[in-house]
This record gives sequence, structure tokens and C-alpha cells, in this order.
Amino acid sequence: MKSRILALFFTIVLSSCINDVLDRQPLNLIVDPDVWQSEQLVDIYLVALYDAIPIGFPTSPAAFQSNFTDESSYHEENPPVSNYGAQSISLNTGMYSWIRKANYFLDKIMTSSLSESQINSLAAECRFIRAYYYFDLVKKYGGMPIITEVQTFEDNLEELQVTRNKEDEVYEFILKELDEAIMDLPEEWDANNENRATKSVGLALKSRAMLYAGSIAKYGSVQLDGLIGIPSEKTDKYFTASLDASTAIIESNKFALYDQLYDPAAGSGDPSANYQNIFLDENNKEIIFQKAYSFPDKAHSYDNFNVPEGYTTNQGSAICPTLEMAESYENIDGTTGKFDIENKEFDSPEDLYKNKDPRFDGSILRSGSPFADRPVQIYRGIYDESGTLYESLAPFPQDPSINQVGLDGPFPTGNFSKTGFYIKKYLVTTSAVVEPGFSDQNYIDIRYGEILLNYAEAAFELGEKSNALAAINQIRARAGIKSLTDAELTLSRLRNERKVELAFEDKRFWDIRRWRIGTELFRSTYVGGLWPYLNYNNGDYTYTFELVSGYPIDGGLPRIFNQRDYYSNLSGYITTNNNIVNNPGW
Amino acid sequence: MVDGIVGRDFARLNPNEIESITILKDAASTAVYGVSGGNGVILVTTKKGTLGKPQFSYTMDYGVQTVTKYPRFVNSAEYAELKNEASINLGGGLIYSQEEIEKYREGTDPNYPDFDYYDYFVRDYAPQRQQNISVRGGSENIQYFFLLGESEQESMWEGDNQDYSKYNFRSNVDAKINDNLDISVVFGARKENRNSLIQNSYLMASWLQYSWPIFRPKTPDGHIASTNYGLTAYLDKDLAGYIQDRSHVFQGNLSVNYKIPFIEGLSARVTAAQDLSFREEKQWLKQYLTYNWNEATQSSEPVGSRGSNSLRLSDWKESSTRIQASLNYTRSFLDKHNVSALLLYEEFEGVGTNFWASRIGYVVPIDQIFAGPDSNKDNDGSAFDNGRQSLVGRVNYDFLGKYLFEYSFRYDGSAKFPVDKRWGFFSGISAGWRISEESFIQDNFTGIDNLKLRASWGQSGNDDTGNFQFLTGYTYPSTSYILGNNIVTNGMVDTGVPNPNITWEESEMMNLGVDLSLWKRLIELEADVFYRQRGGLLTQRNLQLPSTFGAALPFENLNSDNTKGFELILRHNNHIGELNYRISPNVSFTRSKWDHVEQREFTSQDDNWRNNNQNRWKNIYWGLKAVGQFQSEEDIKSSPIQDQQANSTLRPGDIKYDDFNNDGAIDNADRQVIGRGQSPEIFYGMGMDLTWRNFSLNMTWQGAANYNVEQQHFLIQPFANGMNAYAYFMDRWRREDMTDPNSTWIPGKYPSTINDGAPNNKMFSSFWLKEATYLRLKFFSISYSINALQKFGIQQSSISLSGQNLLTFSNLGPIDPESPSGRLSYYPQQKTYNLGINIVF
Repeated sequence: MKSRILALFFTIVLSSCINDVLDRQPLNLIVDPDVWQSEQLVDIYLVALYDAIPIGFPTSPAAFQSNFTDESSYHEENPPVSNYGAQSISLNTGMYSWIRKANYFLDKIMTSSLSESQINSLAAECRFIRAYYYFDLVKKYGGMPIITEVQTFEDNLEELQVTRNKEDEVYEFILKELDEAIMDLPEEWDANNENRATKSVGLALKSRAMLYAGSIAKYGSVQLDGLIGIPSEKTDKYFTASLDASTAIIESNKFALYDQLYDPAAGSGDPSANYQNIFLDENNKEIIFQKAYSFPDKAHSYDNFNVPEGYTTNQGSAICPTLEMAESYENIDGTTGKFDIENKEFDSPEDLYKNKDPRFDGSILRSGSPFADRPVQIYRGIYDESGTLYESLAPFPQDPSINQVGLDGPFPTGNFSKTGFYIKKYLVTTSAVVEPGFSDQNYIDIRYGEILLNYAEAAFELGEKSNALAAINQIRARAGIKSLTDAELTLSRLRNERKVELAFEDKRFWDIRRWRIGTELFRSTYVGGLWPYLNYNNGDYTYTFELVSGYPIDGGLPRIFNQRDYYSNLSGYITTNNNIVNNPGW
Repeated sequence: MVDGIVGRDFARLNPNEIESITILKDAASTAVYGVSGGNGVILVTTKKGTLGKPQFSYTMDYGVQTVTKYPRFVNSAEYAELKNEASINLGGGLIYSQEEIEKYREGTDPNYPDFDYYDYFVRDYAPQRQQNISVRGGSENIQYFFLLGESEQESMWEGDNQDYSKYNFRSNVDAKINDNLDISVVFGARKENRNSLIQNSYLMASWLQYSWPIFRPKTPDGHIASTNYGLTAYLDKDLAGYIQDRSHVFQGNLSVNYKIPFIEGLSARVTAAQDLSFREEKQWLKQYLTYNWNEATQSSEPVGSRGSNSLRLSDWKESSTRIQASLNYTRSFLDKHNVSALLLYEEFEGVGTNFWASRIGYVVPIDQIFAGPDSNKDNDGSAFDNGRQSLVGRVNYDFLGKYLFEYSFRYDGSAKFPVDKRWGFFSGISAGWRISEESFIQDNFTGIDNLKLRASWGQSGNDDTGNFQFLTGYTYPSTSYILGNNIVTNGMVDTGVPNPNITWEESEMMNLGVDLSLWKRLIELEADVFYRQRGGLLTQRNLQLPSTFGAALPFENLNSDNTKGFELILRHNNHIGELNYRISPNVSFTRSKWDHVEQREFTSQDDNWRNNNQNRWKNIYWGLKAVGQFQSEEDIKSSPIQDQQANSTLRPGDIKYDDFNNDGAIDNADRQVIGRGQSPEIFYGMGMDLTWRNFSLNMTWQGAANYNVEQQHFLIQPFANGMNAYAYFMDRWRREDMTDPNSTWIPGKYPSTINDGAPNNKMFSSFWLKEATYLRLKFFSISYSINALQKFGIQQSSISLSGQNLLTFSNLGPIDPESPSGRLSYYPQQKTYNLGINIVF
């Protein structure tokens, strides 16, 4: 009896032994095999890949791309302009970690239990994203190693020390990847997935990438055996590829220029407000590809970074448009946008700006622009009746109700704009949003306006001038300015149209590179500003304007674009791989 | 290891629960304890019942704690003087006039206070108490030990808002069911309550350092002053909030031991052990206002606030389960051959979860979760799961107790490693020879009671590394993206390249030892030398993969090191008349060296010499070698350039460095080995017990040598980061008349004052590396046992006075040698004085 009880006891204890003591799962991670069997997890994998596409609003006020071009100047006294090509904007050795994740996805999705059509569509989406990563690399560095497999390390360091592909090979790779992805990408996504890649998005990236390749073939020179530069005989091929992609988008009729507040055909409405609203109205048919934001979980600080100085105690004023940018906007009648201010007095700033391209007031805050609860107040000083200039940050003795300097500057020190302008594009203007992390405007990466401009440029470069003209005039009509005639359309006007239409949208930085115009643009050049002054006359004020160049804009530093700055420094890649040849001059 | 279970924390037991503590260090005996045994094993056994009448025991200790050593700060007048000097040294003017300094010195003018924040933050004495009652006894068949204990300790921080209390409970019962069957149950539980300030000790010590003596902590009508950042409010839980921590631990074993009939010496044993722990923490943080005093209205006006009103509740649950089944065999043959063997199977499962929830922005002052606003609440949690399986075996053989052999092995499987890498086999052997049993000793050296030579070799493994590094896993949520409809979707990102080969870190140890006992244990000696080699230490391959690889390499079992050392223990027991005494000094020495280190390639001979750690001792410091202080302007001018500015920034009294490479300039290339690191290589100590009639006296001395402490930050920089300065900075180089640049310099121990320290003097050098050798009276007690109470039924009673850290000898001046190295932001070390009574009835 006793031994039976005992046996029973041992049985209980031993049978309660844990069967699979050593087969445990991590409880704080998602494990790999689970991912590829689940539609939701596969989408979540892509979420991080989408987020890594290098577009969107910067997280630092010093990183706005337009401040590195002739579009604008950073308000800080020592802006990072003198070292154009070495900016952190262009240096990023992290892209290959995302390429690796994309390659892994493409490997694994093939083993997935999802349906074949789902797999094809997901793979196409991932290839689109990977093509975007490579486009980012090639526009920064020229040719870079094309890696399409998940590399493994097994004491094969030499094998991993890959060499650069030619710039042309990378563009060919992007072209092939996009063409194949476009076939399998969906026509449309439902509203819950509206920001994911479709056929049109693939075509739009192709339109842009091939336009870049075409201009590099035409304007660049082949160096380092083709590691940078594209043979000129491929010029037409790439422009044609771009033109075809743009044509397909235009003919799909899925997108159109935004016209909610202005009807170009009837000429009715407010073209300036209409243009401003492209960047604020989130339901608009001009958007092709965007990075969306939502407060508070995915917000940015665009407003905090850019609110004019007088509205905030935080640091705003990051993008201050230059005089050169302001003058690039033509007048409504198509005449030059140069300011005619010499020996002139104006009753109000509106008098100076009233004939400007409406896109000027849609993109830039100038003296008198409506903003939040008061108009933007920009003047550098006040001349009294005797001609004495008052220009300190103190009340004006003759009329203490106003200050000697406008509430929003300009002023040589502090966070005031130094150029006399502030940015308006994308900015919330109905109220001053001054706190960081309170903005959620979507960042538009590709819009229909760009496609028309890509089309126009490719057509122009291919000698199809009438097609180019038609596209340019669509843009101008929506802007609310006079159309161009065939004779008026030159390459420089076409490029100016692109500069104005896409101003502050992170496009010009790359246009300057691909057109190879940087060395001409910044030859130890000072960018300028336009400073209003008040003239006090017995209680009344009139305005005069002065052109400013050099100090305090850019901290008084000239801008230099060296030949080498068409491609960025590869030193970050070379420290880990001596087989990477650096770009010339670095 | 407590009662055969690895990982139970014996430091939390009540000392009265413990029967014995055994420390195993030699290779073979630790091999059998496996996984965690690489660094030695501490075996703790709790008290069991005894045969006999119930014996009740009550002990009570009451004591006070006080700070051992802690440097004090300058007073207001000294503060003003140093601030003036700091200003003038940088070309500025006087900040405080002589008249103001005088007022600070007198301290009578309320506008010129001289406030001692050390006194305000740190108590002179904080009480502690411990008492417990136990009963022990048993019959032939049932034996028991029960204990209930309680202790409470208050904190050294002023304000009585921080304390720690603990309740212990134990029930150990052994039952003899029949001749072959024994069952024992061990059950221990404890409850710990900890009430803390919302800032930890590290921060509190920093806030003390941030407080300037020239400001009072409160305005005249008792509000927290905005000066000194209002930091003293953290001492007051009603103002700033509190942290409450409650934990409960239950540990139980059930063991069944069965003597298998018919086979003499064979028994089977099964043990099931379950440990549970529950911990909850409540952090109630309050926003408080800081005030300025308005002379005109004679009232305090709020000018700012610190913190926010929030509540955070955290919860941890952990459970570990162990099952052991073993066969034991012990038998002697022919009265000569003694054999014993053990075969044991063990499995372990550990699981845990934690969870927290918080609300922020409380409007109503109710410290409960329901009362917080709905709009700002948050929660998160995590879980872990771990398992291990082992097979252990051991065989012992000795011949007449003269020649001893042992072989043991472990075969361990860990869930942390991939299937084909999870098992590790570790074995150990040992041999002993009791020479004293040989006739040539017994016949010729009668004074030798025992002489034994020991040798052992053993392996062990360590799996205490990151889990699941062999799997591709993803952290979620990580970056997010809006796929559409304004819905933010969280993404996932992989944890990196997995290592499918990750496995055990292995350690191999060898020991040689001798035990000697002379003249009936008048003198005893134990000597040991050991050598330990570890391999497969996890590290990242130091090889620069091209950026195009797109990932970093995982941790791999690559590094190795070795440690050698010796240990010597002497004991001397004797009596002189009625005075019995025992003295036991001990000393040990250990030193470690890297074998293989994954490191980059070195670009030059110099680079190799400086940075190559391969085969180099661990525990060394590199830095500039200080050769003294500049004695005069001439000395500065004629010395190598130290500041890259032709020595124009240097002053007499600044630290002068050795130009190691003789290039006329002091820079990084002059760094050299300037001393040992922070781990003591030598430990020494001495125990001493004296009894005379009813008195007994115990002492434990303890010390360490061959190591340094590196002083940093505000220990070397007066007014670092806008903090106060330590009083020792008064002993500095200074001009006789600080306002007169031509007056003579008066030498001192430290350089002349610069806010935050002069760049030259902050460089890491031997000037700030202090030899930390110390010796301290770790424990002292004197007790008297009272016999007179036996007629009242009290069998035994005693009264004792004891203390800890009563005496300390070290070179570190006002700094405690056992304090964490560096910045001196820590909870001060304490000295304690205790009065204890013990009654057995």
C-alpha cells in the first residue's frame, strides 16, 4: 500500500515536469515566421520601409533644403551655406540598411502563404520603395553598388567589399525595377491605404528619375569610367522614358491641377489662395504621392520652425526667402519680376506687390501679408521728417505706438528674418502655431504640377516645343498669369517656371545639381533681401524699399558651389570599404 | 543557493533564519552547481528543527545609523571668496565686496545667510530596529523550526519620508514517515515595504551639491524658495510626492527522500520548488510652486513650478519552478573503500510579466488612479519566459579517508540558445591526499593533526546573456506611417542579424591547495592558488563591414580572458587561563588579463601600444601623469606647452604634466599607464573572537589594496555645472591679495579657483587618481551572557553592543573608501551602533 502511494507521488511529480522546457518563444518581440503568414504583419513590415523613404518635413530647423539653394536663407547668423556639398542632407550611410530590409522582404514574401496576386502586388510595392532608395543614392552620389540580395557574412569580407556600379547602371536598374513594379502595382487603393504606391505613383517616380537621368546625360560629363555621369547618347532615351511616364499619368485623367478656389478658364476666384491651398487641402486631386502626418501621433514642427519671429517666443523663421527667389516670380502680365523700387515711395506694400504672380503671395509672407491676428509687420527702420533713421528694437519716439523696427524684423541679430521675407507655403496662416510637434500638414512629394513640368521639360529637351508650351501654359493659367507664346518659351523660362511653381518643395536642390548650374549660381555669391523702410511724415507713413546683399544675410558669408558639389562625399562609405572610389574633389 | 535552489537571494533572509553558510570556490565542487557556479557558490541552509523540547528564542536589536564620511561644502563667506577668485582669475572683477563677505561670515543679517545644506539634507542619526521570535524542536518523527521576524530602517535623508521595513516568516518541517521515507517542507515568505522620495539617492546627492549656502531653502514665511532651484522640496513628500514600493516573496520546497530497500546505501529524492514574487510600485509626483520673498508686501509670491501632477502604478509578477529528481548512493566496503554517487535531473522554468499604467495632469489631489484625467493616460508592459534542463552526476571514492577522488559532470540545456547549440557538457575532477594519515608523518611529526594536499580542475558554463539572439525578431511598435485615412500605423523593425551559433560562455578553473593543522588546531592554515580561463565571451566581431552590408554583426562567442590568484587563511586558537581566543587573518590576490579581444586593426606601433588589449592586464588606467603643480610663472614659461596656447592660460598651482614623448607639448600622445583600475586586487581581513567568562568580543577587520578611485566632475571642479564647491577646495593656490596681480602666490593643495575647473586641470591625470587602499573595522561586538535568569525558566540570555564601520583608515580623506568611484553622488555609507538582546526559553 505504502509503496503504491509512494509510486503515485513520484508519478505526480514527474508527470508534472514541464514537457518542452527548452522550447520558448520571445514574449517581447514579433518572430520572423509569424510575419510572412499574416496580411497585417506584412503590411506592418512595409510601414517602416515607407517611412524610410527620405521625404518629409525635417526634424531640425537647420535642415530645410531650400536654405541650401538660392530659394531662401536660414535666419541664424552662421548658416551652413559655405560648405554646400558636405551637408548632412546629402550624407547618409544608413540607406543600405533599408535596402537590406527591402531585399529581405522580397526574399521572404515569396515563401509567404498569401495568395499569388497578393504576393505579386506586395513585391511590386517593395520594389518601388527600393527603387526610391536607389534613386536617393544615385542623385546624391552618382553610381553606387547595386545590392539586391540579403548579404550574409561568413568570413567573406573581401566579397562584401563591393565596388560602385556606374551611375548609368543605377538609373537603368531604377528604370527596370519601376517598369516591372508598375505592371503589378494596383490601379487604386481603398481610402485606408490611399498613401501607398499605385501604378501612377510608380510612373510618377519614373517621370522624375528619368528626367534627372536625361539631364545628367545631357549636361554632365562622364568621369571615373562612368561611376558618375551618363553617356550623352542616352539623353534621348531617358527623356523619352520620362515623357512616356508623364504622358501615361496625364492621359489616365486620375489627377488634375488643384482649382477649388480659382477657375482658370473663367478667371474667377482667388488664384493666390488657390495655390496656397494646394498644400493645406488634404483632399485634393493634384496629389500623387505624399507622406501624411496626423496630430499627435505622427506630427511635425513645420509651423514651429517657420512662424515669423514676431508671433513666437520660440525659435521660428527657418526659411527666409531671398530677393532672388522673390524676383523670380514674374508679373501677372508676364513681364520680369524685378522690383522697381529705385527712388520710389509707396503708400503701402501692396502697391509694390499688386502685379506679382499670385503664387508669390501664395508662397511667401512679405510686409503686410495677412497672418493670424495681425498682418505681418516687416520694416527695418523709420526715417523721421529730418531724414534721421531710427532702427533699434525700441518704440519710435515720434509715435511710441509703433516700434522703430517691424514686429517681424528684419533685424541683424536674433531670430528675425534677415531677408525681409518669411515662408508661407505649407504654413498654417489662420493662427500662429508656435509649439513644436503641433503640425500635421501632409508633405506632398509628387503632385500633378510637377508631372506637367517634367513633361514640359522632357518635351522641350526632345524638341517637342509645342507640347512643352501647352503643359507650361496649363501651369501658368492655374497660377493666374499670362500664357507664354511659342517664341517666349526658352529653356531658361521653362526652368524659371519650375523654380517658381515648385519653390520650397525640396526639388530645386536636385535641379541645380542635374542642370549643372550650381557653379554658375554660387561663385562666392551673396544672396539678397528686400528691406522696407517707413517714412514718417506728420503722423502718416509711406514705404520705401532697399535691396540688401551680404551681411546680415547668411551671416555675411558668400555662397560657393564647387565643381565637386554636384556629387556628395563618399568618405562615410570608404572608411568601411576601400573599394569605394570617392567622387572627384573629395 | 538557498536550500538547494539556485538564485534565491540570501541577503534578504533574516540572519536568524540561517543555519549555515558555506562558500565553495574550487573548480570541481562548483562544477556540480553549474550555470551560475563559474564565480564560486555560496550554499546557504536555513534552520531545521531539532530533536528535543521546544526552544523559544527572542532577539531584538535596536540601533542608530550615522554617516561614515562625506565631504562638506564651503560656507557662505568661503563661497563668496572663491567666487571672487574665480572671477578675477578670468579677468573679471569682484562679485562680492569685502563688506558682503564679512556679513556672510557673521551670518546675522537675514539677507546674507550662511546655510548648511548638508545638515538640512542629511540626518545625524537614523534609527533601525530588528526583532524576531522563533521556536525550534521536535520528536523522533517530526522536527520543526518556525520564525517570525520584523525589521525597520529609516533613511539618512532628513524629513523622515523614507524608510524600509520587512517581515519574514519561515516554517521548516521534517517528517519521518517510516524507516525509509522522509518528507521535508521548507517555506519562507517575506514582505518588504519601501517608502522613498521621488528622486533617487544619486539625484538627492546631486541636489545637495547644487545648493548654494548663500540662499535659504525657504522664504521667511515657510514657502520653498525659488533660489537653488527649489530642490529641497524633494525632501518633503507632501510637496513633491512619494514612491511606495511593496513586494511579497514566497519560496517553498517539498522534498521526498526514500531509502530504497534491498540495496544498501541507495536512496531516491524528489524536490519540487516554487518561488513567487509580486512587486508593486506607486509613484505619486506632485507639482509644487517656488516662491520669491517680496520685501514690500512681506509675503511670498509664486514665481515658478517644478514637476507635474501624475500617478504611475507598476506591477511585476515572477514565478520560477524547479523540479529535481536524484538517486544517491553511499556505502563503505571492507571499512576501507568509501564510495558515493549522485545522479540528478533538474528542470527549471522562469516566467514573469510586468505592467504599468499612468495618468498625468491630476487636478484633484487624490493619489488614486481613478482620480486622474481621462485624457492623458498611458500603459505598457512586457513579459519573459525562460527554461533550463540539466543532468548532473558525481562519483566520490576514498581509500581510508587518505586518498580522495571525485568526478562530476553537468549536462545543461538552455532555452536561450538555438536547438543545436543549447546543450553544454561541463565536468570536473579533484583529488586529495591526506598526508597526515600516512605513517611517515604520524610517526615522525606528531604535531601535525592534518595535512592535506588538494588539486582540482573543472568547467562551467554561463548562459546569462541576451535571449533569443539566434532568432530574427522584430520590435514593435517602432517607426510609424500613415497608409491612409489619417490612421497612424505602427511599424516593426528587425532586431538585427541573428547569430545561429550563439552558445554557452565557458569557464575552466584549476586549483591547488593545502590544508594544515598543527598542535591540536593551535595553528591552522588553508592556502589556495587558482587559475581560471574563460572563453566564448560574447562580443561583437570587431570588423568593419562595409556600410552596404546594411546591418551590424551579432554578438558572438569570441573573447577570452584569464584570472589568477591566491588565497591564504590562517587560524590561531588558544586560551590563556579563562580567556579563549581565536584570530584568523586572511589575504587574497587576484588579477585578470585579456586573452583574445576582438578589436580593430591598429594603424601604427603607437596605436598598437596604446589600444591593443590583447594579452594585457585588465584594471589599468591610462592618462596624463601629473608631476606636480607649477610653482611660479617662470616654471610655467619654461615647461612644455600644455594648453596649446603657449601656456598663456596657466597659473601657478595648476597641474603640471609629464611630457612623455618629449615633444615639448602635452597632448593625448602623452597619455601613459598611470595606475591600477577600480577593482581591488588584494583583499585582506582579520576575524578575532575573545571570550572570558560571560563576556565575549568579536571583531572583523576588512580592507582592500592595489586599486584606485578616479575622481571626476565636482570632486575635481569647484562650482562644476553651477553647483557649490567642497570645502577642501579652500586649500588652494591663491594670491596673497587676490585683487593685486603682483602679489605673491600662496601655495595650496589644489589649483587656483576657476568656475567649473580650468581646462588644464580637468584633464584626466594621476592628480585625480587616488590610491584607495583602506582598512576598516567592519564589525565589532561585545556581549555578556546572563546566567542568573535560569531560575526563571530562561535557559540562556545575553546582551550585546555592536557596531559596523566603526573605524576606517584610508588615504581618501573625507571620502568613504567603499563609496562608488567618481562623482560622489550616492547614498552616504553608514556607521551603525546597535544594542541587542537575545533570550532563549
